[in-house]
Amino acid sequence: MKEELVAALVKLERDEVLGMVTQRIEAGEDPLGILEDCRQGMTAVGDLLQQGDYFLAELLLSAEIFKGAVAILQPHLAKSHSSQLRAKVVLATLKGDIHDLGKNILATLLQAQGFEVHDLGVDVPPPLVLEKVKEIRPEFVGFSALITTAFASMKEAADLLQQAGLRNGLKLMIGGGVTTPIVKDYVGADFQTLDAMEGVNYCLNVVGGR
Amino acid sequence: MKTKQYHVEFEPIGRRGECPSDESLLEAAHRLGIELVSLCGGRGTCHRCKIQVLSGKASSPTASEQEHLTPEELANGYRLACQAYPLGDCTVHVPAESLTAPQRTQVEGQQVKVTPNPPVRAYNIEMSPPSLSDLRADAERMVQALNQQRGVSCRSVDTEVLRGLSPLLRSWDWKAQLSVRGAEVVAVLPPASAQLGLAIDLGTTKIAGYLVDLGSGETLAAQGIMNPQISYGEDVIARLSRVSRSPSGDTGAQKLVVEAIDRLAADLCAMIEARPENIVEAVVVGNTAMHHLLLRLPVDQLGRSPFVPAVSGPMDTKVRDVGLHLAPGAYLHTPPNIAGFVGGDHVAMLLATDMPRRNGLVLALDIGTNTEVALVRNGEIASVSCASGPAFEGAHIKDGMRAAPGAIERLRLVDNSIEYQTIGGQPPVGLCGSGILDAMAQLYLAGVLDKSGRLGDHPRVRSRAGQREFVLVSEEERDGRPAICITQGDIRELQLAKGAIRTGINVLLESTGCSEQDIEEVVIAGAFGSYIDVSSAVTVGMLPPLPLDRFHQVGNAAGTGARLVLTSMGKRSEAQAMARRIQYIELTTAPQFHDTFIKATQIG
Repeated sequence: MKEELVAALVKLERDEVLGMVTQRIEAGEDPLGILEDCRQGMTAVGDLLQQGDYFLAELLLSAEIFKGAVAILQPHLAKSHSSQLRAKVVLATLKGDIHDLGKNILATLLQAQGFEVHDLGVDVPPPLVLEKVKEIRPEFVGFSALITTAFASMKEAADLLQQAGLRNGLKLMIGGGVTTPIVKDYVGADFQTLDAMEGVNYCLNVVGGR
Repeated sequence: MKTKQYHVEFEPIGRRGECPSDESLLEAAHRLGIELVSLCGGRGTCHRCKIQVLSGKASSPTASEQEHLTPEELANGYRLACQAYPLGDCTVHVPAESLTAPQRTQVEGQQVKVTPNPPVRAYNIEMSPPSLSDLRADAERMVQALNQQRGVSCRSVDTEVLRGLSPLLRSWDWKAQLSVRGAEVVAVLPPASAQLGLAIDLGTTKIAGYLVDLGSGETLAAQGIMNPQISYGEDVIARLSRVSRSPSGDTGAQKLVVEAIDRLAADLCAMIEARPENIVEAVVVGNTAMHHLLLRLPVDQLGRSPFVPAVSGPMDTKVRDVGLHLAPGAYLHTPPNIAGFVGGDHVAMLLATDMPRRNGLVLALDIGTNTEVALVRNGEIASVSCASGPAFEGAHIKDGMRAAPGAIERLRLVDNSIEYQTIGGQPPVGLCGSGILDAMAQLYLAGVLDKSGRLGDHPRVRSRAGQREFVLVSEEERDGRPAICITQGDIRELQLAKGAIRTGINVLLESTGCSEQDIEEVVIAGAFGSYIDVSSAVTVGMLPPLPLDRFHQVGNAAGTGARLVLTSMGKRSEAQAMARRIQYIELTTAPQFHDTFIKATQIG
């Protein structure tokens, strides 16, 4: 059963996936186990994306199927356990930049792995990040950039977090076409990548999940 | 640390010079006039400025170099020029593939007939010499003669013209040709001189120049050159950010382009045995960033969201104010821009293709790193700018290159073999934009690529460094040199690029409530657009599936528009009126942008 569900999700067979999820929940199976299978399917999709076998359209489709599965599982999850969230993540494309493709991919993959993602959108002023971090106390903050002019905003946001004493205890990630290890050092981030799946694996490693 | 000077020699070009220890080898090469490729503007991310240090000492390889050069390359002294600094006298080898090759710059464009109504008119006059009974000053004498003999009243004479006036009038025996613009004398030339205008299409990578007879409107000479600002980064944002970062950088970038236009003007004049002093009016069209950099307008705000220009309206500036050496009193006219990413070149293109007067539904595109798309419905124009990226210019593509000799520009997959044509008929070195597009279309038609863009199985598909790639020209066919391939990663880049363009088209159609089948004509302007095989663009889904006879490739329409604006005051005011009416749509804030884009990345 497990392998079939994972495989169906990887093959993007919407009806099959939702059918199997319904069938298994009706058979009285633990909804958390079913959810875990779906997550594994999403992980495999992420790996295929990283290898270049899958692209944006496949990711979008898989995320929709996953959401459909979660919608079926949700009422049962509430009954059995409190929802099991791995960690909270705040994501933003900062002031000066409006490109959000990479950020959206990361958000999708993180959600599928059970992270609570707060996506602040694009052209976000650094003080807004500070506010959100104060409010929800996330374990991770991630900034995405496609143009170099956004580096200054990344640095500003990182400094604001530092000054507010919120920098310890959270991991700062940056990513996107123009970021490099040099930018990571300049901003004072903990992690930098050009690859969304690497970002997911980083978060999982930090929380000890993969 | 004290800056030291070292002697650096670049081979095989044979350029040498003293280089300070705090100047990267890339900067040194650019300063010495060596056109080393740098797509990223010196950040160490594009890995194109590869050089080999043959002798002498340079700084240790950086992390970026260690990651992207092989251990053998590092052992043999290969470096990225932007990451390496001299620590002693050095001899450096510049491999051919690291040089910006002489490129195809396009100047052809449609000739549009227009009745000349130039901003500057020439009048020949004769003056009586001063005497003890006629003590009028030279300038007043000239202006009064103009009024009496030609019925033209002038209020002022350009200061720089006045500075040279008196000896000239005397040496020409009180006969002269005055160039009058509005109520100002902008040039005084010998009688019966040529009255020339200079039209420039200032592109991010290429500059096209035209020398025009202002009286007849006829184009006398045309030439294309590379934009030397490329050393400041290949794309607009890289260039703007480099200028914003360095306090002295802005004047450097401006000076580079002004010197290039001066050289271009001198070359064009030499072709017809004229002199730059005969150029009494200039027009430059370009994207908003090129326009701002040329006029030394602030660019910091232009490089960050919400990407606002410093000025949008048309401008008339003395050419000497930007540093150009034409007739000393001549003006430079720049047509209006529409937005941060839609410049006067787009306005010029729409003017040249006569969009305001078109009936029916017409789509007009100028494809480049930024692609401007306009949808014209009975003269009403809506425009978007799509970040199509530099993939079709060969950047971010493993074996991509600019349209230079040796670039594969056409490609067909016949059974399992590849037939191709290179620019200049030379042995293949890489793929330029039209070849890249053909490759993608051919692989899709052959079923090697599926709709999602996944590279499937084929005798020519192999795996290298964890990535699938399709071999276009094998190692054997290149006598042992690395094969020319198109990789899975390349395909993904192309999907993003063509998806961006198609998204622009779809968003325009949606916002005006039109359907793509209603498009009666698709006008494709610009160099890349002129050389592509339209059927390939339709096959991959970059352009909508319409009968091929609805597509028209019109060449450098922006250059044609610049010439119209140069020779006709009527076209100048038409450009202004049009620019005010163009509805600019910000793509990223359009509803459904994200989903439209992801759908548009699929092939077919």
